[in-house]
Amino acid sequence: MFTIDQISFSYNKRNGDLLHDFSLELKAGNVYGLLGKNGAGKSTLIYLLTGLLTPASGVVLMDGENVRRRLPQTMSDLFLIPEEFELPRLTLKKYVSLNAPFYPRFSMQDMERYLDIFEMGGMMDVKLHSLSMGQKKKVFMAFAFATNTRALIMDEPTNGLDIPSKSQFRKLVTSGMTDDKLMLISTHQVRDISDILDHVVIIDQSRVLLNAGIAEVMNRVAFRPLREGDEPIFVLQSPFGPLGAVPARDGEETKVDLEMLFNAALQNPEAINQLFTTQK
Amino acid sequence: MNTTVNQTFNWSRFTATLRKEVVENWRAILFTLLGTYGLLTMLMILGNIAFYNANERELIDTMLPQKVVYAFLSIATIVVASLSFKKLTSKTGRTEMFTSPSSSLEKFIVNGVIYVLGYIIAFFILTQLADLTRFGALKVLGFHGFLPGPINFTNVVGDFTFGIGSEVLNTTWGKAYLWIGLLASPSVYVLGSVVWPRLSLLKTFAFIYAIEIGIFILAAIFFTICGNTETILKTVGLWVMNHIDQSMLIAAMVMVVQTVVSWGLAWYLFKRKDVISLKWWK
Repeated sequence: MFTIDQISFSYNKRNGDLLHDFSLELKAGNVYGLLGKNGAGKSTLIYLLTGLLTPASGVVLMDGENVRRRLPQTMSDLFLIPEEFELPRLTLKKYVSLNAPFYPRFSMQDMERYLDIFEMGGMMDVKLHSLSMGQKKKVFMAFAFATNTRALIMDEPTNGLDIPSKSQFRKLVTSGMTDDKLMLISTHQVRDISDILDHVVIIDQSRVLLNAGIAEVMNRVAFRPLREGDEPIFVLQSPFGPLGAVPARDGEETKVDLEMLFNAALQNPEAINQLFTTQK
Repeated sequence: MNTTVNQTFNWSRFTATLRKEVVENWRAILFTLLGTYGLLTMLMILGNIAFYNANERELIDTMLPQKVVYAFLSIATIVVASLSFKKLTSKTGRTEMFTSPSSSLEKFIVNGVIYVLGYIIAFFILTQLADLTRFGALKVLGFHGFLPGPINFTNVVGDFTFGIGSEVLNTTWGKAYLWIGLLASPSVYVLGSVVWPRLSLLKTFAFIYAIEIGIFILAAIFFTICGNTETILKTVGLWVMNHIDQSMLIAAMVMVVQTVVSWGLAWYLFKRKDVISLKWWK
């Protein structure tokens, strides 16, 4: 769906490129987790994907169309949930009636279903400005999912959500996902999304450190207490002894620990690269 | 891509965008219109009372209300036009504006329609309402010295004297110049609103004056080099007086060019804007 082809981008030429010759393919049917340190370029990448920034060189294509042209056809199939947003002083019903016509696949039934997931059903007459920040976020996300755009890009979607809402958000993602859709979630709160991702992209300093499906990660890396003879890529000291990310032995499968995977990719990028490029 | 739907301009998308902008900004629009109506009413009532109480009433121009209205209209249109892209001032506003699925031309025209054309039309309607209010309010107060009214709004730009330039502006092309000027002045401020969304009015105003001072300095240098300033000014002045229609036609055409260039450039820069940088030279 998205082809990022050798893009370079900088906010200030003197500070060098934030992204340099950066390439990435994002395919439909996946929930991508975009991870990276502060300043790694996650938000920039999101803005480039949604046509909000212009790369100095290279191109970002969505189904072959340059997103920077911000054509109505492209934008009606692409929804961005930014970290910060504003909602007008209207009722939710009015907001939906004004914005839904721009999205051909918008479904009112889905909207009500997603509001129910967030336990906000029957709130169509509520005034948006009277809602709390977390409630605004839930309402906005329910609308975003109900537009049924094929690409849904989220920047820190769980920020500002309380603990029950975070699990509701996971339910929202799983119930809104279909094979023709792509979801990209950029976040630092990896624990909030670790169960719903099926693909992880880790970026740092213009490089894609890891771009792999969760199944592949499970197949190649094990996250568990260290044993004798292990050659860990990353070690985490815990009260129960050292835990590590280690190359998975034959048939060994553990739950993916995104935090440990992220740290492993940052601290030992060569080992991760070698692990994921060798045939298994 | 579905190529059957026009990606540059589509009427139903345009009306949906217009509706969205008007309804989502209803409070700002309502307050702007109420403020305009209130100020117009106040100006008209005070103007009428001042006229009635003046010692030498016969020396005062009876078309004063229209002049005041035209002056107010000229200022109000540029103030409102400078707010046409105020959404670009915040990152959240830019994100919302650029990701909404209508074309940049549609978004651009919608803002122009609301903040320039829409406001000018609303202004004329509010002028009538304010004048009726003046008439009604003074009648209720038992006041008898009414100025002629209600004002015919076509007279706001039209048959009234402008002092020195009256004979020039009361020609056919002079009136055309005034009408075109109503669009030309705010169009520069629309451009300013795209270029400098923050403090747009002040920055555009300062920019225009910087250009005018620059032109004045260049003219002064030119005349100093030529050495016969008086002859040149006299020749030009004489030509204008002898060719009033032609000179006003030229002035009107300059206004048309200014309008077209301002709107065109504003749209081009609007299309190039991004979510982070407000730099217009990028």
